[in-house]
Amino acid sequence: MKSNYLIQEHQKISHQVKLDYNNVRDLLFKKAEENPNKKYLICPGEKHEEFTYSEFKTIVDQTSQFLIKSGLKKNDKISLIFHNSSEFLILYFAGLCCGLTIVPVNPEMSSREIKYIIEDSYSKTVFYSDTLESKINKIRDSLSNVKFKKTKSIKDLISLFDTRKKIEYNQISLHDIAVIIYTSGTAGNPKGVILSHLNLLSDAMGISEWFKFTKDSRCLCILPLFHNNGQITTLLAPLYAGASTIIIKGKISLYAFWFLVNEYQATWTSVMASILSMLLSLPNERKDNSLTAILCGGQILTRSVQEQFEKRFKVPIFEGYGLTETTSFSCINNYPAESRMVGSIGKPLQINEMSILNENSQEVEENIEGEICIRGYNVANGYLGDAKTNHAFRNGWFHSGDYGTRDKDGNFYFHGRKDSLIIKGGENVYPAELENVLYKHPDIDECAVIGIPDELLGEDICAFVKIKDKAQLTKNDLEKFCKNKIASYKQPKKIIIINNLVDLNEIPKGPTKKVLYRKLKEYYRNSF
Amino acid sequence: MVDPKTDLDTRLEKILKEVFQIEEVDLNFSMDEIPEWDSFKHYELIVAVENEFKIKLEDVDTIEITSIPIIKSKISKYLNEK
Repeated sequence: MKSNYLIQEHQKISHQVKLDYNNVRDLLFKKAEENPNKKYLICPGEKHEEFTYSEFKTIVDQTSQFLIKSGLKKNDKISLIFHNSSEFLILYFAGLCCGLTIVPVNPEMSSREIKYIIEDSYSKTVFYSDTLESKINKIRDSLSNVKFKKTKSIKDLISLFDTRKKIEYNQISLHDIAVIIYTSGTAGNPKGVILSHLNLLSDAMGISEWFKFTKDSRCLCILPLFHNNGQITTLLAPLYAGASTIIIKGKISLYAFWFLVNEYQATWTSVMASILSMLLSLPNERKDNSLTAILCGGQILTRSVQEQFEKRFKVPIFEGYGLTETTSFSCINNYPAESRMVGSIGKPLQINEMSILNENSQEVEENIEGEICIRGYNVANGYLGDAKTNHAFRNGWFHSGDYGTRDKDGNFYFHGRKDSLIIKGGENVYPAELENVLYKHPDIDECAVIGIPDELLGEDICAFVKIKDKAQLTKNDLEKFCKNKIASYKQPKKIIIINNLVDLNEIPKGPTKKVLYRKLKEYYRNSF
Repeated sequence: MVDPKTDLDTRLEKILKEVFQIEEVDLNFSMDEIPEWDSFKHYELIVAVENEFKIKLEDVDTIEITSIPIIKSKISKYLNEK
């Protein structure tokens, strides 16, 4: 790294790391030059598509011309609302190549949630899948300054302009903002995490080097590309090595998981623990000899799931840890499998440093519990426009809000979260998101939402609701009320009406009237 | 005699409502338009379709099924081959 880059305090580390590329465009174009005929992307499905590095660069160039001719300028933000698809991939890279900032949006979100992200990020243009037309129609008129472009195919989109000429690209620095990824926020609205080209490149390099990816690696991407994990681990990390990626819609990946691994000879994949539990629950067996490792993060991986999975499918699982604020992974269990420390989330990638700090931001001793803190090239600049939440980036560290320990050999262990965040199948949901919806019902007196154990998803959502005197409300009424107001994965699995309970009169609260989520969880554990 | 296409629609509609636990379903919808259609439900849907129509979908079919019209065309294809 050159010394004149504007490194923030929480991005500095005590050792030198050399990045070979200046930005994501530089990475893609150099790889296309080195391996023009090598397959980069394979998108199986009804509309099977494959791109060599050279073919992909060509269509990215053409799409970049389209974006520039559409009037978009460097640092403008574009929202992309797609499930995993070639349309997302091409627009993502074309946007990054033009110096635009990409705002990937989860298409499963409600219209209201999508609108919030478009407004909060100041997106100028929204590209969306044609299958989301009805959702977009609900918000289009209220966002009159935003251009909406329905995208069925990139070829149709770029045919609007002559895109055959050579394109003149803008200069992009390592510190230009590349992506803003929205993650669940404690107050209810999601918060945008600002990630630069430095963040994307460094984390991609860290993962690629950790697993010793080569040009022959074939990574299976089943995680959604609107999240950081899918983008970094199975798209940019393989790109860093000039390898290949097989990309599939998550919704169809589970049934076909082993078929896809075998058919496309995948060597590596990245999953959530809930996917491993689901694969264990299905009768489908492994048919390939190609898969050598699975990276697992985003949720607690239980010892029994890991043991059962490895025993039945004979492929090692590497547990890792990271957050959107660290681009994706910060640490991963030792590779290869023989050197793993079972139960640990591993050691830090070379592009960041990790520590366990106490409340005074001082490092604690080995095996003493404290907050997991990270600093390095993969640590985000901060949150979009929210000084209060930017408190997590302080004293030269990003404070994760997660608690854990470190052993004498430098292996880290995850213990749990400080706050009430619910992690359902890898999706982060703060109680306030659902509580804010429930409180809009005129007959609700008070409510609180907690995570409850779920065998497949790790956690699911339970809402405790107190109904106003004389009001008549059923669980069914409340389910209907929440529908379409919030993403389906944030809907409660269970609604408990407190008025019907004999041993709970109201939501437990502390002296400042703050909900005592821990106490409510304890109540649930003892009573249900 | 019942029109085989209508019969297929009715039987498929019943499966979709049961699997996704929804009251109404538009038979032209894609998976993106049904929020309840997740990866686990996709698995349940395939099993339910195979059982109901006594057919066996190929692995490759299961990654092509991204909409209800595609399911219908796959079912018709296998029923015609019987």
